[in-house]
Amino acid sequence: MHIPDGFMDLWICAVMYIISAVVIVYSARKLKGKLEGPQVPLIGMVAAGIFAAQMLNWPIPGGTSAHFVGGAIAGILLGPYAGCLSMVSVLTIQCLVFGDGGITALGANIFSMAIVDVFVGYWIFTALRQRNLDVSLFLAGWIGIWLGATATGVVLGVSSVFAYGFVTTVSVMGIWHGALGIIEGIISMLAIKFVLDRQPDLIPVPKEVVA
Amino acid sequence: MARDKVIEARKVKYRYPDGTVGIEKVDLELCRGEKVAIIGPNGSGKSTLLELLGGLIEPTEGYVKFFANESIDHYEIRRRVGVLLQNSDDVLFNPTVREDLEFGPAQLQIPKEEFDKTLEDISQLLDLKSYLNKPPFRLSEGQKQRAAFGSVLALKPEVLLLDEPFSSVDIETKQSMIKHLNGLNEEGVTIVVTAHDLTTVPLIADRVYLLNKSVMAEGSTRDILTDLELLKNNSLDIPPLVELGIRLGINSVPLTVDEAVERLRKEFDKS
Amino acid sequence: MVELAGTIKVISKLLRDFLIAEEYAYKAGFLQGVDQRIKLIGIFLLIVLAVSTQNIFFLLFLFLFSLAMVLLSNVSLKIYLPRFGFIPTFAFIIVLPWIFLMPGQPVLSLVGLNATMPGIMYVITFTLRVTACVSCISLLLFTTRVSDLLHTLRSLKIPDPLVDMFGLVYRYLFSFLSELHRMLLGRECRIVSEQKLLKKWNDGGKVVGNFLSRTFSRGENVYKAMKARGYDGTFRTYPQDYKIGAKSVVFIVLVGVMVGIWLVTRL
Repeated sequence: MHIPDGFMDLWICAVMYIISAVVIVYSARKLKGKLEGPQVPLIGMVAAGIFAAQMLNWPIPGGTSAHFVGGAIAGILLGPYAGCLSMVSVLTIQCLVFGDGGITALGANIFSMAIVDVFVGYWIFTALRQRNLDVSLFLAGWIGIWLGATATGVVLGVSSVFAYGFVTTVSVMGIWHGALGIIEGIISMLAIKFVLDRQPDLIPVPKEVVA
Repeated sequence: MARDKVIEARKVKYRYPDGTVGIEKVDLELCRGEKVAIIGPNGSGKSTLLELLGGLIEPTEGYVKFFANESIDHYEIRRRVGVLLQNSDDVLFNPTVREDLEFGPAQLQIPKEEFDKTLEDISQLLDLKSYLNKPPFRLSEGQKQRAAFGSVLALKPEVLLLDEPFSSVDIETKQSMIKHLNGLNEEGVTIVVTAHDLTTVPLIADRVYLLNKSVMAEGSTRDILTDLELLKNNSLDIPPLVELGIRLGINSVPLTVDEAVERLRKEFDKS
Repeated sequence: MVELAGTIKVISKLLRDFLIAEEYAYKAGFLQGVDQRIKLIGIFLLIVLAVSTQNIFFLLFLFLFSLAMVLLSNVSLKIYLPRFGFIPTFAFIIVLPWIFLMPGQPVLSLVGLNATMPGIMYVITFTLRVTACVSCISLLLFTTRVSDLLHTLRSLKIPDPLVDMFGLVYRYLFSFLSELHRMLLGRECRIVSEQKLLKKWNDGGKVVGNFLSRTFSRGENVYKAMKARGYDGTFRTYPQDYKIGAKSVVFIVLVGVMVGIWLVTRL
C-alpha cells in the first residue's frame, strides 16, 4: 500500500501533505503536556514493534502471502492521537531510510495508513467494544485498512499521471484490500485480545463509554 | 567526624501500578566515598530499590533524601547521581554511540567544550573510539555494556548506581569496569552495585545490604558473605572461594582470589 | 504460525539492504560530502521536477544524472540498481494495458488489440518517471547516515517529539526484528505437524500480541534510562557545525542545471 513517487500529480501530493500535516499538528496538540513524560519512548517503541511485525508473512489460501499494516492496532493500543504519530514515525522511516514509499507520496501514504486506518480503527473499536469485544476488534482492523486502501484508490484515481480512472482505482483497491483486510482484522483481534488478557488495564475504557 | 550522607532512604515502600509490593520497610544510608553492594535473589526488588535511590521512581511510602537536602530539584539529582540500568539496550536509545554519550550532558546543558573533553577521556578510557559513529545494534554485548557505562560516566556523577553491571559482560569488560569503578571511588565517587552473583561483590564493595523485599541484613562484605545460613535462607549461592575457605578451615576466610592465594601460601609454608 | 521461511526472507532482505546502504553512507564520496540539508532538499526538488513533467528526455536525463551521482559517490551500480529494481518493474506491469487502451493511431496489432503510439509513449514515460524518482530517493538512502538525517530533519524544523520518535523507531527496529526472529524460531521448533490455516493465524496473532505487549515494557525501561540522564520532554542536542563546502556548492549548481533543463523542456 506504499505509493511510490511518480504515481500521483504534484498538486495532489501537496494537498495530501497539507491534510496530513494538519492532522499531525492537531494530534500533537491533543497530546500536549503528555508528550513530555513517558509518551515519546512509548510511542516510539510501539512504532518500532509494529514496523517489525509488518515483516511477518501471513499465509493466505492460494499459496500467496500477505503483510499487515497495523494502523488500527496502533490506534487502539495508544489512542488515536499517539497511534497516529506512531504510524507517522513508521512511514517516515520506511520512506527516508528504507526507500519504501515515495517522498512526494509520503503525505498520501500517511493519510491512508496513519490517519484513516488509525482513526477509523479506533472509532469502530470504541463504538462497539461494549457490545462485543471480538467483533469490535475485528471490524476495527478490517474496516480501518479497507477505508485506508479506498482512500489510496481515490488519490490515485484523481491523479492524471496515473491513467486509470477513478472508478477503476477505487474499486480495485477497495475490493482487493477489502478481501486482504480480513487478515488485518483477524490479526488485530487476536493480537489485542492477547495484550488485554495479560494487561487488562492497558487500554482504559473512556469514561463516556462506561456511562 | 560525621560522614557526609549522600542518599538516605527511610521506611521506603514501593507498590507497582498493578498493586503488587516491590519492596517495603527499607532503610538505607549511603555516605560519601562508600562502595556498597545490594545483594539479593532474583525478584527481591534490587532494581526497584536502585531506581528509587536514583530518583527515577517515587516511593509509595517513606522517603528518599538526596545530599541531606529536603528541597533538592530534579536537575541537581540528575547532575550528581548517575544510574546505569541493567539492560544496555535500554540505556543506548540513540542512533549512534556518540549521541548516547552526548545525551546526558546535552540534556543538562553542560557546555559543549566541557563535553568534548569528557568524550575524549571516556572513549579513550573505555576503548570506544572506533565505534563512536556506529549504531548500538551493531555492537557486541561487551561493547554495548561499555558504551552504556560511558553514557552514564559522561555526566561525571558523584554517586554511581549500577544495576547488575557485570551480569552479561565478558571477562575482560568486567575486569576493566571493576578497575575503573575502584579508580573512580578513590577519587571520591560513591558506588552502589546490585548483584545476585556474589563472586564479584568483594572486588567492588566494602559494605553489603542483603535485600529480599526488605533489608534482611546489613554489614561488612566479609560478615555478610561468610554467613552461610543467611545466604542460604535467602536463596543466594555461596561464593566458591568462601565455601572452599570454610571447608578447609582457614582462619579469616578469603573472599577474592588474591586473598585466597595469600592465605593458602601461608598454610603451605606452615606445613 | 506465520509463514516462517517467507518471513525470515523478508527480515533478512531488509537487514541486508539496510546494512549495505549504511556501509556506503560511511564511505568517502561526492554526495556523502554534501551538506545533509542541501542534499535532502535538492533530492526532494529533483523528484518534484520528475513528478511534474511529461518530457521523456528530461526523465531519461534525470535518471542518467542520478546514476552519475551514484558513481561519483563510490557506490556500486551492481548493488544500487537491484535494490529498487522491482518498483519500476511493478509500475511497468500495472500501466502496460494502456499500450492498447490509450486512444490513438494504431501502430501495431496483436491478437486483435491495437497498440497505439500515445499508449506506448505513456507507458514508457510513466515507467521512466517512476524509475528516475526511485533512483533519486535511493541516492539519499545510500549516502546518508540516519543520525545525520535526523539532525537534518531537526534543522528543517520538523517538531522535536516526532524526530525523537523517528530516532527510536530506527534504533529499536533491529533489536525487535532479531527478537521476533528468535520468537519465531522458538515456536517453529515446537510445531511438528503441518498446521491448518486458521490455527496458523491464531498462533501468529498471539505472537504479535506477545510481541507488542513486550514493546510496552521496553518503552517504560527506555523512559527510565532517558530520565536518568536528564530527559524532561525533549531530546536536547548540541548544535551541529554545518559546513557548506565545495561539494555542496557543486551539488547546488548541478541541481540548478537540472532545474534549468526542466524549464527549457517546458517551453
